[in-house]
Amino acid sequence: MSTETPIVCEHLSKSFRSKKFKRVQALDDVSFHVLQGTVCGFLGPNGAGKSTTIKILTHQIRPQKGVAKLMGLGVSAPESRRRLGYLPENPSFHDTLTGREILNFAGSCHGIAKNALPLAVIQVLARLGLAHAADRPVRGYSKGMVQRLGLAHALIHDPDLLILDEPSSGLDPLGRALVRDIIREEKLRGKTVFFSTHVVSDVEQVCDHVLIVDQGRVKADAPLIDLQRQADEGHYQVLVRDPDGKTREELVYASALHAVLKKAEQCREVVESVRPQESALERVFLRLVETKKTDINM
Amino acid sequence: MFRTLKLLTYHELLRIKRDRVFWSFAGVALLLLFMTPIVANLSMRQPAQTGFTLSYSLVHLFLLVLTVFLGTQALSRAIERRTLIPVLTLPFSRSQYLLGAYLALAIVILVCALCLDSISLMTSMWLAQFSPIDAGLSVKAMLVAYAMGLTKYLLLLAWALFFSVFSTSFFLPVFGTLGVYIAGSATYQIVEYLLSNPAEYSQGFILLVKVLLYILPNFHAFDFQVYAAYGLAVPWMDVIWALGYGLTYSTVILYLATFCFMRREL
Amino acid sequence: MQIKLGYTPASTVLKTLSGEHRFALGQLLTMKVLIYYGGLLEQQGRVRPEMEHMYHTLVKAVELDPYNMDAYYFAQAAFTWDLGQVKAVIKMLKYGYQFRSWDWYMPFFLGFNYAYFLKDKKEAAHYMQQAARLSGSELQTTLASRYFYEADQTDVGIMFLRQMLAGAVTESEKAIYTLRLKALIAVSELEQAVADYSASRGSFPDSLNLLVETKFLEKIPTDPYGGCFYINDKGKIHSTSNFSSIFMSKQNEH
Ligand SMILES: Nc1ncnc2c1ncn2[C@@H]1O[C@H](COP(=O)(O)OP(=O)(O)OP(=O)(O)O)[C@@H](O)[C@H]1O
Ligand SMILES: [Mg+2]
Repeated sequence: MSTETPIVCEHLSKSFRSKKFKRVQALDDVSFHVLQGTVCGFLGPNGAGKSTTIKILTHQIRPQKGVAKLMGLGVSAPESRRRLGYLPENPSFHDTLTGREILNFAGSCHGIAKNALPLAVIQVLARLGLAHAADRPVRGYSKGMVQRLGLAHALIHDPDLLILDEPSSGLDPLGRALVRDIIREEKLRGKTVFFSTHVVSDVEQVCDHVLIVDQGRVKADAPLIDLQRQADEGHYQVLVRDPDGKTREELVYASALHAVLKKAEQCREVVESVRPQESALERVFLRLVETKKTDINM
Repeated sequence: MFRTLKLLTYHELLRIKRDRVFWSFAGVALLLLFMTPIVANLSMRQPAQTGFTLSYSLVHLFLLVLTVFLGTQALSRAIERRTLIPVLTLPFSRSQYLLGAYLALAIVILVCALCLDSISLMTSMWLAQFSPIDAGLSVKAMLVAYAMGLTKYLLLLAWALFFSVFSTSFFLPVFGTLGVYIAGSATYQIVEYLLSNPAEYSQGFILLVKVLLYILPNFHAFDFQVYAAYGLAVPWMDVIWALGYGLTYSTVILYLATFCFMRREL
Repeated sequence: MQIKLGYTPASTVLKTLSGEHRFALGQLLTMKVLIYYGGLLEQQGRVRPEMEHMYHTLVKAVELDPYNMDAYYFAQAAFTWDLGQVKAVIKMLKYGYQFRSWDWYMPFFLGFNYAYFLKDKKEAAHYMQQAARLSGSELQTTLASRYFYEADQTDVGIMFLRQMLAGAVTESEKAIYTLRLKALIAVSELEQAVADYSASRGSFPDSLNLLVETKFLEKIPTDPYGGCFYINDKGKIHSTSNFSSIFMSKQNEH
């Protein structure tokens, strides 16, 4: 495994022409690194520039300014993608080909030896629960199955770096759990994972590092724990049953939680459950991107 | 490098093999081709020539449809449906992809031309038996005519890919390619008509017109039908010149296509 | 049934647009005329032929493909006898001879047209010699050296038709030549009788019946085109059919 930093972005700027003379600034001086062996969650509201960043990293589009590197190589070099597994946002494949054919092609393009290829394909298909559909043309796949095939396409050659654009979009709860498991497994095997998502809880469950962008700018780039610590007071939902057997719901601040629980004990009430209303990360996220909402209101 | 090319070519071939539209075109072409002898038998004095020219036309009409259909589909439809993204983010360069796609399509066109041309050749030779006078068909010249016809469509294929690089809709590639085809077919006649009185023009002007003719391109240079049908002596210098021209021209267009494709945003 | 040849655009436009398909297009245009003409024959002269149009379509066909033998052959077969467009046919043949310079049929047709229709024996001999050289056949040599100076018109016609019949393949072709050959043989028979008559009596017979009455002729042969033979005041044999399957009815009306 290379000792190079898997992902390096320096001062990336990208604007698109939206109307004739108007331009949309999709990325505005974005810089970040993803270190070897980390799982980095890439958070941001719709239109924040997540996919744009990932497209620049995979050399689909070019930034107007800045440098992007994968595995120490500029992204314009095809070799930079040699150890990369990439899942596009809403992947789409030639729909007359079967899942197996698509993976065969991807596998051989990544240099998997001919005799090792069939096994690799079967293994990755089984890992994503697609073994039964291996020989069906992709035309007949459901949305979630195509997403799974996209993941298989990214994983077929056991890459050192995974870049996944919304890996759990279109997947059922089982599929989402599967994606989380895969990310954890890859981390345990020393791989680097960089994935964009809207689901904060996914990030909290699997990431060590979080990158938050909004309106093309980096809003946070820190280890998960640091961000969670920054979070201000959250709410808890407390469910209590009084001695008569009636249940009652209370919404309390974290600072008041201790007092509420004590009081319940005194009144001989039973505390059924205490649930945090939103995660710490979610609160940080909402606070960081709040400004935008006021923008819209204006 | 060659391994990647081979893989890409194979991938494209697999895709085309599954394409129903392709097979239905091929079916229609075959059906019509087998019907040419019936029409050719209406000819009084030259059934073999009729068989040859009609089947030659038919084969090349099919090659035109195929070139436009495949050449424009390979890129613009793949870009439109975003099926190109997973392919192009594999570890090879876009120029390799474009070359692979060109090779695959060229192979399809070559195989189709080989099949249909051999049917055309056999029916023409069969019809020659019924010719009242010595049919005069020359197999050698026929092979030359078929080969040069193919060269022409490989050149047109480069144009199709070139247009395809710019666009996500079918409009520009299809009509652009057809435009080049029509222009390339017509230019020679127009130039011949314009310069019917060469004395009226200066040498420089004539040279300029001729250079323009070959840039546009000049598809007339690839037409050797008449030598095949009427057994005239094949002008070998013209054949070699046309081959060189076709090869150079296709290379230049493919290079331009690659140049633009590298800069294109998906 | 409506028989129409329809419209074909100018040949420069056709030539420019058709590109590599111009040979096939030339052939198809020729076939269009052939099929149209076949339809005319079936109509037995009930339709007025679009002569100009047929001719121009053929001209377009040979401009697209100057080597197209069908077009020249058909022009020779149809436009000279039936439609009387000898000059136009000669022009077309001369154009085609520049291209089909190896083909003895081209000078053969030209020579025949000069001899038979235009009665220009000098031009005829010039072309017939070329035809003889190209074909290398004995018959042609005979034709070239002697026939055109000695034989009379009808015999030249019979000679030509025998030659064409020998080279004909399709049944319709054979039928056309056989029909005309029969007519010419009948005319030749009548002319012989008229010649015999005038040799012994010193004048032309007033009518053909007189030939039968005076035993110079056994019986008046039938015109295979369905008309009746008659003799004009210059002693020439004609028929009310005008020896044409297309103009027959028009003649009959007169
Ligand atoms: N091809 C394009 N042409 C014009 N504008 C574009 C293009 N691609 C992206 N944009 C604009 O760039 C901005 C960032 O888009 P991007 O796709 O990166 O957002 P995202 O973070 O991936 O959003 P989502 O969460 O919805 O996927 C948006 O404002 C979008 O409108
Ligand atoms: Mg996105």
